[in-house]
Amino acid sequence: MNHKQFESWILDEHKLSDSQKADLLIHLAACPKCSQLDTGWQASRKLMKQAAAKTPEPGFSVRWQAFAEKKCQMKVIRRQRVSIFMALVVVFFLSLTYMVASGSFLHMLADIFTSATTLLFNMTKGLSSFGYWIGHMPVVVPLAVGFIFFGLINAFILVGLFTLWNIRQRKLQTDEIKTD
Amino acid sequence: MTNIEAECLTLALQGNQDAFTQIVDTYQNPVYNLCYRMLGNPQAAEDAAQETFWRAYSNLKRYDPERPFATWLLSIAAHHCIDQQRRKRLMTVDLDEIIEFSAEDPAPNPEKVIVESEFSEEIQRQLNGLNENDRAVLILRYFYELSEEEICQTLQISKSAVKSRLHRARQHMTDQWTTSQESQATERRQHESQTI
Repeated sequence: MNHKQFESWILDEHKLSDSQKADLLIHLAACPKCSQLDTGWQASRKLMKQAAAKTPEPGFSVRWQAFAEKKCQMKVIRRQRVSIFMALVVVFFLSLTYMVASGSFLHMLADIFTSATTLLFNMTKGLSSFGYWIGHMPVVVPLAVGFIFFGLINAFILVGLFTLWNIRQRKLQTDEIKTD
Repeated sequence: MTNIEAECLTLALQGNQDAFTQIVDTYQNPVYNLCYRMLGNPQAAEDAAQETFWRAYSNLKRYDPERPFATWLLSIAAHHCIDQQRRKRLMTVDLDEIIEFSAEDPAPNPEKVIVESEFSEEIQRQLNGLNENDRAVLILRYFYELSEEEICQTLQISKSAVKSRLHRARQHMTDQWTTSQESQATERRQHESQTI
């Protein structure tokens, strides 16, 4: 008989007839591989039966109640956030619809565009006159201005990064306190 | 399900959390045991069991009273643990956690408990080597003695999938057992040669 067949009889826990059982026993006596498979599986099965069921630490249901409370609070907060976001979206679209319908939207766009262009123009003009005056000064002055300018930018970046890190640390501490 | 449990379920369906705590009390052991066998770590098992009960409580309206409540709970726990295992596979393994786990849970005094705990740890080592899908099927079959049909319903997979997963899992357990026996025999031989 096919060797695979015996393997299936051992591992798939078929209900065997008496003749099949006899065939299997004869095969197990002759085939060390199948014999090892049978012994191994029987032993594993025995181990599973004998292994004690794991139980949680005492007070599981009390801990669950606290867990459920926390989850309920989170659910409420999430619902509130969603409501606020939805309200903002509705207000935004209503305003947009009103502006488009009343024609003020196009006026607003034109105003924004004009203001932006004027601002850009003034900035360019200011920068070119600043450059003109700087160019007429000794080399030390433009160098110092450059250092101050880049120094300020770097300082702002560092302050921003520190603030973000600080917020994160505070959040982690709050979470730890909550879990305690 | 007893009458009291059915009553608790009805109350819980009306939003009574205390009534559901009674249910938690009744089913905490089977749910925790399944989570422990699936995840192999007491803390992860505790978290998964808590989450299982929360999901059950939140989705109580979806529970079909025709089905046994325990099977429904185990189904939630098994699915959650399978998800957890998948996520865990994507993350880097924390070596400290593994060391902590191997040394964890020293058995209390009586000899029987020690032997049971040894069996338990040995079987857990074998289970840890299985993939999450095969592990879930094997645990439900041999720790909870569910039939193949019940496993189909619990994990929402076909009967042929249950059969093939069981076959693979049994093969794996047998291989693990053989390997552990061989390594024990080698250790014994080494020990004997050292004593001589």
